[in-house]
Amino acid sequence: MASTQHPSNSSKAYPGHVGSRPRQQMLRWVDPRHKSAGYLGFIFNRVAGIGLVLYLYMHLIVLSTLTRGPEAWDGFVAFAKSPLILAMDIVLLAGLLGHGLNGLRVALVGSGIAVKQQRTLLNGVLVLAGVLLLIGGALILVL
Amino acid sequence: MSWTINVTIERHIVARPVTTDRYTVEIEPHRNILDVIEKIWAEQDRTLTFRHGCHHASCGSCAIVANGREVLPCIVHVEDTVKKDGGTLALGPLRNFPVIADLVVDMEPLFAVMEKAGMPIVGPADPLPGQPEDDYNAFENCIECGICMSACPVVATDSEYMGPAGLAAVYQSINHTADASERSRLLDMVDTPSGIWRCHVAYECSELCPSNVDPAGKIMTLRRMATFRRIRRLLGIKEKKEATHGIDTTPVKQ
Ligand code: HEM
Ligand code: SF4
Repeated sequence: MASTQHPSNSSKAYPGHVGSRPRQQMLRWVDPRHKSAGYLGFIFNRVAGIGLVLYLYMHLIVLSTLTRGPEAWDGFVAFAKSPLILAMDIVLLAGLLGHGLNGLRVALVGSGIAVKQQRTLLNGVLVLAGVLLLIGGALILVL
Repeated sequence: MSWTINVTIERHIVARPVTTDRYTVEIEPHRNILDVIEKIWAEQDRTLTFRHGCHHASCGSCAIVANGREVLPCIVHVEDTVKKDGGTLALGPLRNFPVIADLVVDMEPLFAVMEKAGMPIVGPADPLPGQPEDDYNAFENCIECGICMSACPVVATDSEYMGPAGLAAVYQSINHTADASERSRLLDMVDTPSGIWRCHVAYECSELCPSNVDPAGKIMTLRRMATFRRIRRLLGIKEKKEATHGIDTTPVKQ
């Protein structure tokens, strides 16, 4: 028998062990290891949701260039057509499609509708999001 | 033929830092994980603390985390978890419960909710004649193992949340009574931010429950009941005993 001490998980996590409540760890939900599809969907939905909020603020800041006249805006449009930004647009689209479609599933199942079909709905969301992402991604790159 | 597997076990010992102990175990792959634990205890380390009762998934007392997933070690085969001769088996206590020692957790958070739900621990389990099998999904199937609480991302971050097993218990208690005021009281208890509305529909509880209780499905059905009740109240429709939203409310004989 060999023994290793846990670097991050010292006994402080469970003071005295007996009868104590585990310490609240705000980020425990993020761990995707060994999780099933529904759990992964939940992590994706939350991360994408936070990402979309950040994007919304960025978007508003960018729109404020409009107040600095047509030249500033044209300059921004040229920048937005760079390959890096186009690639990021595809990531944005993936997040929107995934969050939006999965959100519809969560909202349906979460209000007691189609509860027994939740797995089928999840598969449907994945397929539909994939197809729409392919079409949308192609359009972003072509147009 | 035996496999030689590398087992790691989280050791939680009072007033000591948590450590991981390693053991090499020879065991036939068709044996259960609980056999591995008992073999280590019998042959290598008498200080190892673990809990078990029936050895056949009836008592729910042995639940642990094996290779990242919550299991009842008494019914999970070594070959299904370790996969190959020479493979690794990492064992730890259930998550989201206070650890008492090594693989043993304090089940109080679960039992406290169960008590609030008024759920008899022992109850009839077979569907009555004429009762639809799949809607029944007897809650008495719940062996109070705590696997759903350990697997739930919401329990992991919110100690106020009633949790999958407790909410499923309330669903079943509602099903067990035809008394409208009692049903209403039970629904009041879960129609709260820390009750049915706290769930984020990750469905990990239903995925891992060893007794097919489908706690997530029960939570969603409770939400439907609560929503319908709100709509009825909004429209001023009087509560009727018959308004069951497709749920079988035949009282079960105790
Ligand atoms: C496209 C239509 C959308 C639908 C159908 C939708 C649906 C949902 C649903 C049902 C949830 C609850 C998920 C849960 O309980 O775990 C949710 C969460 C959330 N949504 Fe959306 N959403 C949409 C668009 C957006 C947009 C545009 C943003 C950002 C600007 C956003 C940000 C968020 C955030 C931050 C959360 C919280 C995540 C969490 O707590 O896990 N959503 N959304
Ligand atoms: S609902 Fe299932 S996982 Fe949860 S305590 Fe009961 S038997 Fe265990």
